[in-house]
Amino acid sequence: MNSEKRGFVDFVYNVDKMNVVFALSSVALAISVVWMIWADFDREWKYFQREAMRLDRHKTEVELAAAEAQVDKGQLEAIEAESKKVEAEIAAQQAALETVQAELEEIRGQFYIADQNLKFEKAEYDVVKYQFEEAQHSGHTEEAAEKRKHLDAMEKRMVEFRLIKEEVEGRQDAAKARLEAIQGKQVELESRKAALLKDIGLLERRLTGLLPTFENEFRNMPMLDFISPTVKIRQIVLGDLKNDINFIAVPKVDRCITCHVNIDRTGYEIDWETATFENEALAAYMAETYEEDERIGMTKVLASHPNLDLYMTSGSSHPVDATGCTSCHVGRDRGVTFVNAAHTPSDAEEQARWEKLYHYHKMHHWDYPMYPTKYVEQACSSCHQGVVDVPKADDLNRGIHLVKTLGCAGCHKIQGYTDLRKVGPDLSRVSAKLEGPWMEKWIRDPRGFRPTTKMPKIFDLQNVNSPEDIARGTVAIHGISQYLLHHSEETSYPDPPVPGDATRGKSLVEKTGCKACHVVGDDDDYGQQYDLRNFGPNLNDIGSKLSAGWLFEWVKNPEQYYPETLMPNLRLTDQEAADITAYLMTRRNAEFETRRPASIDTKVRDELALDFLQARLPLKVARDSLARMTAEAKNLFVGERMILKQGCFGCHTIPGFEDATPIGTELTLQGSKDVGKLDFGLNPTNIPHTRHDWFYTKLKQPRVFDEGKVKSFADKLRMPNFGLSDEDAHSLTLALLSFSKTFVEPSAMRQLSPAEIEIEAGRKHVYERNCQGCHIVENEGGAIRDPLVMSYVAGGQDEAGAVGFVPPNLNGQGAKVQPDWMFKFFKQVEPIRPWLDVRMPTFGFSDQESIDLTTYFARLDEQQFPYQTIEDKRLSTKEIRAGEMLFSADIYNCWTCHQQGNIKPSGDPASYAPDLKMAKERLKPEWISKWLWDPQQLAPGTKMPTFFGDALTYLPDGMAQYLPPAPGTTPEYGVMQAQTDSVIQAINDYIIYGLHQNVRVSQR
Amino acid sequence: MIRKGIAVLAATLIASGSSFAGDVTGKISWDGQVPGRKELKMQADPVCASKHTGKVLSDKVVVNDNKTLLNVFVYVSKGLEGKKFDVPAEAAVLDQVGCIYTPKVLGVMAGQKIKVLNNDGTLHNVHPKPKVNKEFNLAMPKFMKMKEITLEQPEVMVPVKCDVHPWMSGHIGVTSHPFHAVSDASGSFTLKGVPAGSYTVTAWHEVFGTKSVDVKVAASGSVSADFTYGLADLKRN
Repeated sequence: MNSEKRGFVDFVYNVDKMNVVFALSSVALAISVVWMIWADFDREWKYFQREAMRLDRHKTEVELAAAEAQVDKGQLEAIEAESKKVEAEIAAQQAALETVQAELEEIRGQFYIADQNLKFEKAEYDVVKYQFEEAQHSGHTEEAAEKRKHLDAMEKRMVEFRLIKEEVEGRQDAAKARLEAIQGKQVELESRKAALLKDIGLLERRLTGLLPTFENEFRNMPMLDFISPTVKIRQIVLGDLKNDINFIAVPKVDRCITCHVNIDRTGYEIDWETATFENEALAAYMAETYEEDERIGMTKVLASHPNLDLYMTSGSSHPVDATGCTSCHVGRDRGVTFVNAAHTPSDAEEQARWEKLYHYHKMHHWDYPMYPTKYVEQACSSCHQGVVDVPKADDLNRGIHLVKTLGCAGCHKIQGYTDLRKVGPDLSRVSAKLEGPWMEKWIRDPRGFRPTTKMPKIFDLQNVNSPEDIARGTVAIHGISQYLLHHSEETSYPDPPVPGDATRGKSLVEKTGCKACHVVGDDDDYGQQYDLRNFGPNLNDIGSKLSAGWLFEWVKNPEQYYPETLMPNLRLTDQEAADITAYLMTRRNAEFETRRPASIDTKVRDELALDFLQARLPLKVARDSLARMTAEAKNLFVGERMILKQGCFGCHTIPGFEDATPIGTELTLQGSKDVGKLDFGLNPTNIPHTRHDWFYTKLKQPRVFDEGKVKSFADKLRMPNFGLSDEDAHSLTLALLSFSKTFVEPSAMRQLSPAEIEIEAGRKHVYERNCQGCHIVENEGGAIRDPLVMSYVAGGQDEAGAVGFVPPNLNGQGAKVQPDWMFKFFKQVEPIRPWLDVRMPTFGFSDQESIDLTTYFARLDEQQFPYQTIEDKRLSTKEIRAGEMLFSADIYNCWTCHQQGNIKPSGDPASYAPDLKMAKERLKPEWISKWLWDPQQLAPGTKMPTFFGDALTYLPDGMAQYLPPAPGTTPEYGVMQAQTDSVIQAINDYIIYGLHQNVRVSQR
Repeated sequence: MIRKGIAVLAATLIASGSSFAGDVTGKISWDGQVPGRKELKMQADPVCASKHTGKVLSDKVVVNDNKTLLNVFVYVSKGLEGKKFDVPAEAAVLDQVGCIYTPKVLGVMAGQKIKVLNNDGTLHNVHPKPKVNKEFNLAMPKFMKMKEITLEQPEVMVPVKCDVHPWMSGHIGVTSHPFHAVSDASGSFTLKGVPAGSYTVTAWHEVFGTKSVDVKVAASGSVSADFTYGLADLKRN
């Protein structure tokens, strides 16, 4: 170290060194400041927004070019040429123009003065008038007289001023007209030109905003971009929709539109399969600009929402500023990077692409990551509550229906589903219906007997398929069947009182209506599970299951055996019931009949019984009590324990289990359940750790998470296998996801109007009673039509004729029938179409159900409900005669198709139409008139032809005297010109009043 | 532009009976056993029954004496795309005679008027059941002797029903051009004045379905297109 230098210094540190340190650290600081600013400036979302702008610019340029190309060049040139001519003309009249302009300028001044004078005078007049009134009121007569004089003078002056002003105005108008004569043409041409170039102007202005001008770049510069940047974070604040942030609900702030800038705009529609813009120019631009993976990613980021009619746009029912994005898609609302928005890939391919492009990884510590698109429907029910179906959410709706149909709520508590009836039959009198061996074979393999059954498979599943567990299963099944038979109430069903005929029975089954809910017959291959026609069990194997005696009593009156059954009463005679029974007894499953139930291994049974006993008792006591039990007692004990373990009572009424607790976990908030609380076991199928993957896997393979685990028979997973198709499992997954906590303020939910609430109440019954099995209701259903028509065609009818025998279409029913009649009809069916073989069953509706359904139909058609005056009147003999003539074979020949009380129509049975005598009680008079005008409009395809309509109503000469002349027609025109209205009114009156007046039945 | 010109030219030539067009003629042969005909039961409407003496047989499948098939609709199904033809001014006629459609199979051009006649003295209703055209159902009470209808879109075939008389069944073949015909009592048909070119000619029968054949029409003369139907076609359908 240099001693000389040291002498200078009084510091305890080396200044030179310090200078170096300071220099270096300040450089480092400067660099890190720049780095910090840059890091803060350089954000992932800006990249997307800039790319969006470039794309937008390109689109606008293309549109501008197209708009320019579209302008009618000829027209534009013509206008411009004319403008030049007009300009020349104006130039020629320059002197005149200047004179007029100068004159106008002068007149403007004169007008101002005249106008001011008048206004001031008026103001002063008002003051003096007030003074006069005051003076007179206070009795100052003198002053009042003076003021009066003053007022008179002023009135005179006002008239003068007004005349002057009017004169100036006149001159002004004349001058303006002269100016217009010179310049008018030019103004008109300019506005025509502007109209022609309107689109171009708009696009040009738009393009200016998108160009990378210095101004725009300056606004986006680091450190300056806090003022008013063009590239900025965009967000939607949703006060009524909230996020669950552990114990508090925070309003959503959706920033998705920061990158997905085109989501609410039209023009960026893409084909989602190939991720290509439908707009060819855009597609070409993307293909040129990006390599394939990036193109796919960028196209999806910059796409329009695929359903703008329903979402995003201000005209849709889910505008973006009210609904946002994460309310359906979930994910992290405030996230503005790809990763911390909590995106979730749909499949492995997408995940790989994301990892490459956006360094994707799952965002940890966020409980609600986005759902892949196919699960988005789960969100609908957060806002759409109290409805049977959410419009357009088909998969979710199907899932919710499956939850009800399959009886999930039997084992799992789900709020809102707790008061449902048990989905399986009542077993409290099962010994009268089934035999032990059949039950054992059935419990072991329900789908082996009936492939479309709702009864799930419980035994021999993947966690209990070792030989030891199968032997235990045999013991358990035997025990269950013994228990059920032992505790069953004794009833016996003797053979049918009359012999049945299977051929007649087949025809009855096909034509009475059974096929609305049941599939039966060799040619009946309607195989879709859980659809309208599979509402009840498939009957193709029923002869192998039941006795003729039981079946006879059942079809005659299902409620006597099972009071809660949904099977309605078809009012069958003994003979009909016996015929149907005879036919159904021929429907057998031969293979199943040859099966023999496995015999039990008593040692295995005793072990199993001991297992159950020692769970509650000390081992020694358990052993002792087992030793004291008889074989039968052991079987019954094992059966009882197994029913308890498997929760059979969730679906069936079983004696002794009336108060048993359902066995499954509560599912009310399953969709919000922490993924960490779902038991993936050893994750044998290696599924991603997400809720939806777990639900789907659990539904498809309910026991899979036991794989590789050591568990005793009693401890193993118990969920049965419903044999769900992939689609059904997906729908159920959606339903489960929808059972979640909602953080939506009631005001933001879809509020049902009182009428909508009534419609939903009716819809619930329509769904629960399977009305659409027979009827078309709300444009859907009528499932029985095809098999019914097929049956008539097989019987020799041609197809068009056979359609005449299907149950009525109920679209527009509320506008058609009187509510009183409908209520009565639900309570007690009376045939309206006696020629039909298919019959409306007796459902035993309660008053409330009948009211709900009647209201439902009325509300669907926006009808007045419940009361309505129906005027009563008595027709004159003349009017009756008019009706008789109109109905006769000479004119409209109504009785060839329509029934009239007890009188059958005269025509072919395939053409029969409803009894018009019932119309008074049943139909709304205004509906009859509408119907007569144009039946095809109310019921497209109906057999009822249009008699009226375009042409004037033609009537034979003799009719004239019977009909009221149409308004505006003179008698000379005769009835040839009778207006349709008056003819329709005459028919209407005759149907409603005439047919019920005591006169002879009209001629046929 | 050129194509359009050709089409206009072709249309003009056809209209003027030019020699640049030929005929397609043919025969619909029947192969094998002749099926029986079901009896139609008309007693539901005595007016219908009274128009006939003796049994009325179904006209669904009629094999002529010379072993050919009646009521087969034949038309050019391919090769005339984009060409425009004038709609015939003359209306086609669909009569209802003794509660049977006469003719049973009718060919019209889209937009051509169809006069439906009713001289039966009973109520009929004309109820076409189209898939492409608009469905309608017009009553023809006995006093309404004629009603004009049109089918606006090409559609082969449009079934026509009368709901009052379920046995009544007719078919209207609606084409976009005038080249259609129905096989007659000798089983033959002629498509007149087809512009020279290559076409697919298709035959349609209510029960036995469709069959097609490719033909080349020369500038003059006629070319033949024969079809053979048999009971085997029942299975095919």
